[in-house]
Formats: sequence, structure tokens, C-alpha cells
Amino acid sequence: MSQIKLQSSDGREFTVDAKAAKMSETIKNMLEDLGGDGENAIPVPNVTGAILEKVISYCLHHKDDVPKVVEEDPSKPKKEEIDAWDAEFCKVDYVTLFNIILAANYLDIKPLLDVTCKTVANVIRGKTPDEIRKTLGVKSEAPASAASSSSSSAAEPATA
Amino acid sequence: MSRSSAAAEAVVPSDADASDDTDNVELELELEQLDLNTTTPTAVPSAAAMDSIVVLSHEDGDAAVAAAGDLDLASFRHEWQSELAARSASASTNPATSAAVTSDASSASGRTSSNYSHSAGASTSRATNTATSDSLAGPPTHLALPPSLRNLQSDDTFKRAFKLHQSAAYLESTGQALAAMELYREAFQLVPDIDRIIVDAGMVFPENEDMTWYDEDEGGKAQEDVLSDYDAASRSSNTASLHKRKGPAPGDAAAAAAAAATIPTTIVQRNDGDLVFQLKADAHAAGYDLWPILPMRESTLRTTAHISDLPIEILLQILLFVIGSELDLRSLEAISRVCKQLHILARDESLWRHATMPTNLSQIHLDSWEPTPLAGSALSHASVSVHSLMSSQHRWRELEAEHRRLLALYTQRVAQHADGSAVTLLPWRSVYIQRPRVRVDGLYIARLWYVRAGEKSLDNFFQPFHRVEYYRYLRFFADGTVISLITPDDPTLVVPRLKNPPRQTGAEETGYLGKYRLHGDIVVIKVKKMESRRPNRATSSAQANTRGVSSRRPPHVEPVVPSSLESIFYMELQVKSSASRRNSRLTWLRYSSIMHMSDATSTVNDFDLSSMNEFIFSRVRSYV
Repeated sequence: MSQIKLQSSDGREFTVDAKAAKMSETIKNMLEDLGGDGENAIPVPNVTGAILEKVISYCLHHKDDVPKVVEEDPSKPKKEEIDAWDAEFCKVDYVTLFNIILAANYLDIKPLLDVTCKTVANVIRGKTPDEIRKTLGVKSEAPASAASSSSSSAAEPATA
Repeated sequence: MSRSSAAAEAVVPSDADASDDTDNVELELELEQLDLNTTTPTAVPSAAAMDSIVVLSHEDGDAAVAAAGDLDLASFRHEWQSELAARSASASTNPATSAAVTSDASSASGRTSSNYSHSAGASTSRATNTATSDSLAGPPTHLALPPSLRNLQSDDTFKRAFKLHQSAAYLESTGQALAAMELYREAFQLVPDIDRIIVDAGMVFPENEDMTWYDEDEGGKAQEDVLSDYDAASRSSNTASLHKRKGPAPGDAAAAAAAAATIPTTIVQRNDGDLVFQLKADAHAAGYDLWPILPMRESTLRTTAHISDLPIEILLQILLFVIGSELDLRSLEAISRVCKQLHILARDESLWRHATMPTNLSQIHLDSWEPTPLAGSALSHASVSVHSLMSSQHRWRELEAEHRRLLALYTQRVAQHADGSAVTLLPWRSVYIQRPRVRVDGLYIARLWYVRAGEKSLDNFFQPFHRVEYYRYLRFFADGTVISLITPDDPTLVVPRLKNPPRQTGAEETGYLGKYRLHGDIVVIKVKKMESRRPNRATSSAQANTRGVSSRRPPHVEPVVPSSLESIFYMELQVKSSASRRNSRLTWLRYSSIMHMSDATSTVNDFDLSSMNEFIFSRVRSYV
């Protein structure tokens, strides 16, 4: 059983190398529990074809990675470096990126989740709140208060 | 909110703490409003309300905007509130009401509340809120408990129950469910509906209040000194923030007055304690009431994935990456100003605990640097500096003890006594802000000089003296690494060289590399010469020149037999704050070199500190 079929939410079928598919803990567990026969496609109901395609391309590229040593302290952030292939992989619009994150979360592909989260983190870093809002399409909550209070901010430094 | 962000950028580029303190205030208020919003039983037609697009009645508001979760919550609160209103019907009226009523109602349009139109009724509650803040600005009341609530229970019982509940909530949040349950049980025995009271009132006691109780209860405990420092600091910051809170208030005062006049007094009253609203504590106490407040998505994006679609744990993971190993809390603070939900997330305890713990208390072992193992051999062979070695050893032990004490203290902060007699409930963020630390987002620079006699001129008439100026740089990294660099080079030249830890840049740097650790406000640094392919003449000569008188022997710049294997420089510096910037100065307490010889002896030389200027911090934007 070296090939596995996956079916996305919009009905597209992908035939994937089993090793790559098993990077997803979710699929791996499913296969172990159900004993996938390679005939029936495994449904991946939460992921659209376009996103699944991206995810699969990631898995194919990384399927032979040496499994990382378990982090001794999971709460510690790992290195922020992203390798070149992954960086290229993450060069997508934010909508796609968020969808990939959601898919990675659902499929439980830790390295993919990490790399995409890091990408988002790098986008956010060092930006001002306004820039972040603009970048992520977040609505500013109090534009009027900004205007009305900017005058009072002149007096602020004294107390700050 | 953006008032303070503007202020933050305007004030100092280099002090995140001061600026974000100011920024809290507004955000917290706003969050509170939304919280309140659902509890307001009736829509109050106020001047502010006219300005806003609509102030919907309670039911309409829910139907229009509130998430499903809000509905439950609202009805629950509604229940509670009527209960409360009944109980406190006879309670004396809060000065807030009268004070607010007298303010001028005509300028109500000063600030519109249309920006809150996504949460109907927010304007009303905002008004309420500012009304209370106004009232507080009057005679300062030290009582955080709203009078109505204080009538509910006797003071002591309630305080005690509250504290129990708080510590329980804390334990629970840190995963110690069993211990938490014990405390919860006790709290509930004292005050059966303590949780509702806390949740609904969003009742969080001002830090200083909390601390005062603490001191009363635990006066003799070892933590006292540390906490009282904190206490003092928070007192001052508290009064400061009260001032700031007043800032935006005038525009709202009228609206507040109008609203306050019609709103049942209980609402006004029970918000007294909200002014010092700790978001973190709210998250605990309110059981994430605020999560359902959806941020701010552009309507066009509704159909596609948006950052608000990500689960909370993923958002937290992202924020953890934002902080990263460089502890980029500045970015975190920027994120907290983006919107309400992100604000709550950015104040998450886990992030701040991460930021607080790593360098100061956790896994940095200086063992290999410790002088102790050398002691035995040194004592027998190197009689030269027995005294100073002894003292160094002694000092080290002292510091170790202090370190353990602090470690115990900060762990205790999380795991507190089962009897609930003491609650050391400092949010990690406060711990982070209040506690001395070295800053990792820039350089500490000391400018030093010495005088060197020049050659006499031929006519024997003049002898020039050279004043040699040089710099000492200390660059701290969040992972406990420190680089000490002594060079005549100007900061502009040095800054790019010290951006990254040397292992990343390939160790072509000169200077001294080592570890640091904080013991209270004392930084202990041990550095040794970096592995370098070509020794830098300037550095070593400057180093030689900084040496003072050694104990007995002249400082051996030239290694004698037995040859010196390595020398370690040991510094103790005290973290101090300047008037405007925290942790911006480092003053010398001790500076020694420990020379390890090939015959397993070692010598310790103390340097004269009289010519050593203190380090002043300069932030470097590119570092974080």
C-alpha cells in the first residue's frame, strides 16, 4: 500500500504516496484504525482541493525528512528560521495561507503548522497596529477615538 | 486606544513598558464596555446614543450582532443583575452618580460612539464606565469593592473568598486542577455565588489593594520585601494611570452623565473596581467571556479565510513565534493594540510567562563558569589572591541563595498555599514589567577614558598626556548569552556587529562571550575571550589598560609560567532605572578576572571600579 487516495471537500481525488500522507497524524490514525485498502478514497471533508493540493505538495517534499527530536520544552518557541523551500511554499496570499493553517491543524501536520504560523508571525513582527490591520484585513475598532484623542496625546508624555 | 498608541510612539521609541501601560487603560475600558453591554437590561437613550448609529435595546442588539454565546451569557447576567438590584435597592447611592449627573450634558456629542456600532449599546456602557472613572478621580477611594457588593457579605469573608477564588482560578489556568478545586471549594463555602459575582462584576481588585491585603496577611513572609517593591511601584503607576484615564474622559463626561442618570445605580456602582481592570485576570475570572467578540473583519472577507477563523491555540502559537527567542514584546504590544480579541490574546499568561522566565530563572547554568570547583587547588597553590578568591566564592554562594529564593518565590506565585491565606497573584506581565531585567533590544554602552603619558618633547619642556577614550559594550541576548566588547570604535560601527549571537555570524567577532544571569537586580556576567582567528590588538590593549591594581602582583598582561590557560572576566552589575526609562542603567558592583593556569591554579584579581562609568542603554531598532 504505497499509494493512498484522498478526497477533498469539493470532490477532487488525489493519489498520494502513503509516506507523504502519513505526515498527517489524522490520516495516519485513520489508516491505522480503518486499515485503508488503497481502493476507497479517504475523505478530507474540511479541506478544499486547491488547499489539499498545496498541503500534499508540502508533504511530498518533506516526506523523507528525518523526524525531529522531540522538543524538550514545547512551550519554547523553536527557531524562527524557515528554510528556503518552505519560505517559497508560504509565498501565497493570506487567504490561502490561513486555509493551509486550518488544514494543517485539521490534518495535524505539525511541521507544516509551525512553518505557516512562523510565516504569519514574521508578517506581523515589527509592524505598527495600523500596518497589521491593513495587512491582515482587520477592521480598526475605534477610528473616531483615534482622531479625538490624538489631541490629548500631546499632553500624555508628561504623565507617561 | 490609538490615542495611547500615538502617545507610545511619540514618547519614547525605547520603552515598551511605559507606553503600553497607558495603552492598557483604554483597551481595558473598552473591553469592559462590551462586557457590560450584554448586561445592560434596558437601552438608555442618552446623548451619546443619539450620535451613534443606533443603540438597540438589549434584545435587538443581541439579535443583530451578538454571537450565540452572548445570548446565554446575557440572560444569565440579566438574572443575576435583577437579583443584585433587589438586594442593593437600599444601598446608599454612589457618589459617582451625583457627580456624573452634575457634569455638563451639552457636550455629549464630543465623541461619537458610532465606532462601536458593531456592538450595539456599547456607547451606553462606555458612558457608564467613564462616569465611574470620573467619580474615582474625586476623593480617592481605596475600596475596590462596589458598595452594593460589600453589603452582600461581610468584608472579611468576601475578601477571603475572593482571594481564594483568584488563586484557584490561577491554579486552574496553570493546569493544577486538583489544587484549584480545593480552593474553589473553600471559596464557595464562604460565599456560595462568588464566581458569579466575580464574573459579572468583572471584579478585579486594583493591584495595590490586593497587595496591601497581602502584606497585612503575610507581613513576616520572605516574599514581603520583593512584593512591597512591587507594591510601591504599582501604587505609583496606578495613580499615574488614573490620571491618564482622566485624559479622554471629558469628551465623554456629558454622555456619561446622561447615561448614568438613567442607568440603575447598581451598574454604576459595581464598576468601581473595574477601573484597574486586569485583562488577564478577567480572562480567568470571566471564563473567556470576551472571546465571542469577533474582531473586525472586513465584510468582503467574510466568505474567505481570515485570521479570526484561526483557532485560539493557533493564534497563540503565532504570537509565541512573534515573541520568538528574541523576546520581541514590542511587537506583541503592537498586536495588542490591533483589536480587542488580539488584545486579549496578546495578554495571555503563557506568552508573558515565557517572556519572564527564560533568562532569569530557568535553564541557564553557569556551572562550568563557577569559581567554586577551583577553590581547593587555588587555595593551596595560589596564595596570591586567597582573600579575593574567598570573597568571590562567598559572594557567589550568596547570589546562589538569592537566586534560589527568587526561584521559589516565583514558582510560589503560581502555586499558592492551600489555605488561601496568601495570594501572590501577579500577572506575568506585571512581573515582567516590574521586575528588573536587562534589556535585549539594544546595547548597553559605557564610555570610558584613561590618561596615558606621552613622550616628552625634545626640549624637555612639555610632556603630553593622552586622554584615551574607548567604549565598553554589553549586548545581552534573551537566551542568556552576553557579549562584552571593549573597543575604541564608535557605536555606529559596533551596532551591526553585535546584532546576532556570534555562533550565527561565524565567530569572526572579537570581544568576550559569555553568559549572564539575573539575581534580583544584579546581573552576574561571566565572559571569556571569544574564539577568534585573529586577535584584535586594539581590544586587548584597551583591556589591559582598564585594569586596576591587582591584589599583590602587577597585572600580568604577559602570561608567565605557568602559562595562563584562559581568563574569565566576572562582572557584577546592578540594574537601575533612570527617571524615564526602566532598566536603562547598569552600574558596576564588581569586576574581577579569574585566571586559570595550566597547573590547575587560578588567581582572581579585582579591578578598581572608580574609573568605570556606568552603562547606559541604547535601543537598537534592528535588534528586535
